[in-house]
Order: sequence, then structure tokens, then C-alpha cells
Amino acid sequence: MFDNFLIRKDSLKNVVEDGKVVGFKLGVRIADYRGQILSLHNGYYIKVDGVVYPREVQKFEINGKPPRTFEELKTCYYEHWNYDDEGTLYVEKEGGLEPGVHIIEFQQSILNAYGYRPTDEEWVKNPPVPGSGAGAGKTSNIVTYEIELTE
Amino acid sequence: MKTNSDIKLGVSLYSYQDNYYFHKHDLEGCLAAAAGAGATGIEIFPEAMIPEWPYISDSFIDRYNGMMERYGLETVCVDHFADRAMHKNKLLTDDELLERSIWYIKAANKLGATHIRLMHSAHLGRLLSMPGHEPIDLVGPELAGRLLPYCQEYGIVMALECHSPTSVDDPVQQAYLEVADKMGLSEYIGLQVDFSSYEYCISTADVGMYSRQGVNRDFLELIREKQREAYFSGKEFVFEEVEPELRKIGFTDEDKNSLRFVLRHRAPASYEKLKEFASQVVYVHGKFYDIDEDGQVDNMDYPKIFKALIDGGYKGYICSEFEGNRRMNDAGWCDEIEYVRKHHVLMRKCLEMYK
Repeated sequence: MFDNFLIRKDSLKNVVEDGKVVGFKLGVRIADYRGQILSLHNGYYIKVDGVVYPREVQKFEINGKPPRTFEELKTCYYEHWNYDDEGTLYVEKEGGLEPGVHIIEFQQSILNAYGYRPTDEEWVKNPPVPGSGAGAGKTSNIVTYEIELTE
Repeated sequence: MKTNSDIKLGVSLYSYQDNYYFHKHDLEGCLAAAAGAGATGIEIFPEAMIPEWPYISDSFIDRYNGMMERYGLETVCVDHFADRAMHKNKLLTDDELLERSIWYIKAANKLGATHIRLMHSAHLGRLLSMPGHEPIDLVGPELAGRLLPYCQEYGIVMALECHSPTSVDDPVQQAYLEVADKMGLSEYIGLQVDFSSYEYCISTADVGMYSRQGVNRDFLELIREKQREAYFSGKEFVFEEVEPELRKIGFTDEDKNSLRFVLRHRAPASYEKLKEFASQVVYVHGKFYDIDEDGQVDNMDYPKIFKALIDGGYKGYICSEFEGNRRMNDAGWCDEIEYVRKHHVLMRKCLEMYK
């Protein structure tokens, strides 16, 4: 659900730190009908112009706190990502992205809080790699967006 | 606007999830829309539309109650979730799940609600499980029994939602009622009908969604036609009987897998049984996905469902639960407010018909 709206269209920007472009960021939304417990948020499959950026180079910013790695989010059992809030996904990439239109293939992975998916126990030790469809909540397909980098 | 009946009409705010998600309407806007459709009752998902959940402040409660007063609404139901796996590294124990479940009961009381929808283990008629894995219990009969004294204290009834593929007449539900009976607390628990049990064919909303996801529209329309033929001639839909015709026009195993939830469906649950169990029902989800040009829900027999509930003596709320939004919004804006309005016109007609 919300397949076409998981990335805000005008949100793709490069990230500058100490005068250097260190990556890019995107505004992202929940692919579900209710808010999500942050500990279950398991990262993104994100492929930009054919290049996959794994969870290890991703950070997620929500609730007014600085961007956190998915390793850090793993223990946020009592923090919520509210249903109608936009989060920001940061991806490390030296030099960032070129200006212009980019093809982004995208899937969010938030593990199911009911705990009845087949892989749940295994996922505790070994979370699925986003993009396999596993843990993808209510949007189990990879969605392709064409998005222009604005700054 | 009150109904002239023991059955009252409301709206589950689930129906307006796109309006809220895309910030077209805030909570007050959604409440106003429900009142505008003629509803007098509201169902609310705290995890969607109460950002403070689970620590709801008094100032929120004041504002909420003020809005309900302004729009002539009462809270009927708060949706309970049993998030057994919320910790990621372990499942919640029964004690932990009990504690969280009490939060919903207390919140329901503060919000002026009469019911919570309990996410019980038999929500789908059986324990949630997948091949090769232990089934996971959400709220079983024993845990429900432990919640009953809290329900009594806070004046809240637990509604056991019986969602497709199960229905209220499934014997598995009775274990919950028996626990309450033994404790002398029967008035605090009952069955909840979800109209998904009474679907007789794939909805046009699903035809659109699956076709945009790449399934050939001709396959979907043929399946829908055959399901309707079966229903209106009083037969079960058996996919295997239709499969050769579909294969001839190019239907593949991949299509079969994409449509597995649609194809296993054989017939709606029994209206006769619905009538028989209506007196044990404490709440109803008026589920729908699409409304056709005649104002009817396109894949459920509303007049028959309403007749069964009325003849069986159901007294309480039916709340619109529009689920077309998530099936349609990939094609553009889905006017949930208009859908709910049409749904209320249909429900009022059904109430009038069997007065």
C-alpha cells in the first residue's frame, strides 16, 4: 500500500558535511496503515541508477533525533515512527548524486509486529536483506521511482 | 443522524487513512467527514491517529471529547493490537501482552468508548502460523479471561473480530465466550462480524489493483464473472473447474501464485448462521472495497447480510470500514469521504428495507 508515495518526489538532495558532499537523502513514508515500532524497522532496499546501497551505508532520521544507523534502531523498542510522519533516509556516497533525474528502485523493510511471519525467529539473529520481499510489510514489491535531484 | 433501528451506524477512521496520511484532513477533519456521512459512532486506531499513543495526555482527551461533542459523535471502538514480536529479539510473554492490552482498555475508557476490538488468536479462525514454524498465539482464551476483570472495572466490552476466512459461527470462537461464562463476566465479551466473511467474488477494487501489478485484466474479469455465476446460482466457486479456460487464454503458475488469496475463496459464509449467532454479536465492521453504479457493494450481498443481523436481533453499531483506498490509491487519489457517504446511504436503505 502507498506504493507510489513511499518517497516524496521533491525530497532527493545531496548531503554536505564540512563542505564535502558525503551522500544523499530522501523523505520516506510508512508502507502500512498504522505507526511502527522503531526496533522493527530493518532498513531499505535502495538501488539508484543500477547501484545498490546496502543497509550498512544507510541511516534513518525521525522524531527530531540525529540520523541513526539500523544497528542503533534495533533496540528502540519503545520509540514509535508515527503513521503520518515523514522520516529521512540518509545514504553514504562520496560525492553524492549528479543533478538530474535518477531511477530509484525501492523497498522498505519493517518486520511484522504480530510475529507470525515464517522467518521471524531466524530474523532476530539474522535480519533479512531488504529487497527480498521479506519483512516488507504491506508493499511487498520493489517500487521504481523517477526522481530529480533538486540540490 | 440517528437511525430508526436498534442498529446504529458509524465509521471506522481506518476508512479515511489516505486523507490522514497525506495530511488532507487531520483527526478533526476525519471526524467531521464521518458525521457528514450521517455517522453517530466512531472507531479509532490509536496507533494511526493518536500520535501520543500509548501515553495519551489529558489535554488530548479533552480536545477529543470536545470534537466528539461538536460533531454529535460517540466513540464505539478502539482497535487493540497484539504485538507479540515488538521487541524483535524475543516474543512478549503473556504477562507483558496482558499489560499492553490493559493500556487499550484504559484508553478506550478515557476516550468514552464502549468496546475494544481484541486482536485475538482466532481472528482468522486459527492460530497464525506458517509451514514449518510454531504457530503464534496472540490473545488466547486464557489471556482474554485475565483481561475480563479489567473490562468490568473500566466498562469495556471486548469484541472478537471474526475476519475472513473465518466467520462468527466458527466453533473456535466459543472457547473465549465459555471462559467469560465461567467467570460470570459474559457481558464484557462477544463476537464481532467483519463483512469480509461474506464476500462472494473478487472486488472491482482488486481487479484494478492486481491488473496494475501486472496480472492480465482478462483473467481477473473472467474469475470475477465465474465467481458471480457460482454465487447467483447457489453453487460454490471451484477454481479447478475454471482453470482450463484460464490456461487457454495464457494464465500461468505465476498468475496463480499472485492470486492465491482470491482463488481459494469458494463461497460467502452462511447468512443463516449469521442470523443464528447475531445475539452473541457485540460489534460489526461494515467492510467494503468498492461501490457500483447501483449503489451496492460490488462483491457482498448487503441486503442479505443486514436481513440476517436484523432477524437475528443484533443491537449495536455497524461501522463502515472502507478498504478500497489501499487497493486504489496507486492509480490516483481515492475519494474515501465520498465512498463512505455512499456506503451510509446503502446501509440506511438496508435498515429501512427490513424494519
